Formats: sequence, structure tokens, C-alpha cells
Amino acid sequence: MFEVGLVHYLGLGAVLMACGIFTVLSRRNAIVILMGIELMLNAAALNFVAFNRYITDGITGQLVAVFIIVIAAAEAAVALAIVLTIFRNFQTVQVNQVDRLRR
Amino acid sequence: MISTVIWCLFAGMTVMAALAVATSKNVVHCGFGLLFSLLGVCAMYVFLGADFLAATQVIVYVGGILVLILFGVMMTHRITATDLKSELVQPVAALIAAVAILVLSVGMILEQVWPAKEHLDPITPTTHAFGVSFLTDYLFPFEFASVLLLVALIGAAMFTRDSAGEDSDHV
Repeated sequence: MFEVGLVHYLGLGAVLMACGIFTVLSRRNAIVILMGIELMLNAAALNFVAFNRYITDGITGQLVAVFIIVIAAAEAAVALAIVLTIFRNFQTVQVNQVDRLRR
Repeated sequence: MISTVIWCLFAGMTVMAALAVATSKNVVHCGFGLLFSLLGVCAMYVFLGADFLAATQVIVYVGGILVLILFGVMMTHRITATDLKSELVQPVAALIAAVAILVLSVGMILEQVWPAKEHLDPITPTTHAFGVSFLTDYLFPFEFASVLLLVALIGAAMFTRDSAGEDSDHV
């Protein structure tokens, strides 16, 4: 068996990023698009932590990952609030049907 | 190499769940795929010796964001509607873009000669270092993140009030 190293974590991060990009590009449902964004944020955070373990000393990469999680939480809260408001006004969350600024 | 086998199991779970998020037509299935993907990333944090981060991942992502997203799914579909469908649109173009990103990233990862440490640090608890960092070198980002969360909380609550935008003269 191989020894798990930096490239394996980076490869996993790349796969997660690709899945997230595919999700964001191939959906019209705003909530599933949000899920794709969460996948991409996780891929980035995983890369930071892997670099932190294998290249740098200290915990700088882990600190960045914590801030990524904080940003993701704030983003999810605000984005879902916007999605709920859109649903209340348009009765849909399909992003291609939300094409008016007024009611 | 039992740890490598376990790593592969968790990595496989992460990738399969992420693929389920990317391809499932049922929104709830997407949500549960995201759950297992986030748990797999949490396991990766454990393998990388990031104990505090792994706990944070479970508490904030699985316990917070995922529940929030599932609430969003439930609240944005009519109760009577039985199909929580999300069709794939333009799958070919999206697949081309995603595969292009993947190929470029993996090619770059394999080609690059990464600087490596002589020997890895022993895995030790990181909470003490986190506490010290947050209150010394990273005090400003820490406080900024606090204010950001507060603003996001207030903003989200304001957005979703029933009277948002209409009779908001009285607060």
C-alpha cells in the first residue's frame, strides 16, 4: 500500500472542487447551488489544512480553515434567508425564473 | 498499513457522497450526500491532526449549516408537492468545465515538486495553540469574524421577517 501524503489530500480536494463546480453549473435550484458552494469551500479548507500539516509549521493553515468555516456559516445563513425571501415573492427557487426586480 | 486502508475508505465515502450531491435529482438526497461528504472531510481533518477543526466541522457544518440547508429545502417546497426534483441542466457543458478544472488541478498537483518537511510534527492537541493565536496574532480576524457573524445573523433575521419590505416603518 502507498503512504498517504500531501498529493492524496490535494487530489481529494481537487475532486471535491470539481464536484462543487459541476453542482453549481448544472443546477437551477438555488439550494442545491448552495450545496455545491459548500463543497467548494470544504475543498479549499482541506487544502489549507493539508498544506499546514505537510509543509508549514504551526497551525496557520488550520486557523485559515476555521475562518473559512465561519465565512461559510455566515454565507449559508444570509443566502438561505435570501432564498426564502425569493420563494415568498416568486413561489419558486429556480434561479432562471427569478428575473424581475419588482414584484 | 491499516491507516491507509481506513483513509481510502473515508476518501471514497467523501468522493462518492460529493458525486451524489453533484448528480442526484432529489434535493433531499443531495442534502444527505452533503452530510456524508462533510463527515468525510471531518475524518480527513482527524487524519491531518486537526482535532479542534474536526470538532468544529461537525458542530458548525453538520450541526448547523446542513440543518439550515435542509430547513431551506423543506420551507421552499410546498408541503403538498411530493417531488423535490432538481433537474440537471446543461450537464455536458458543466461536465466539461468540471473535468477541465479537475484535470488541470491534478496535473498541477502531480507536476509540482512540493517542499516537504524532514519529518512530520507529532500529532498533539491544537486547542491551546488556537486559543493563543486567536487572542494574539489573529485577534483582528477573530474580532472581525465575530462582527461578520453578528451582521449576518441580524441580516438574515431581517430578510426573513414576514413584514420585510412592506410595512417596515415600525421596527
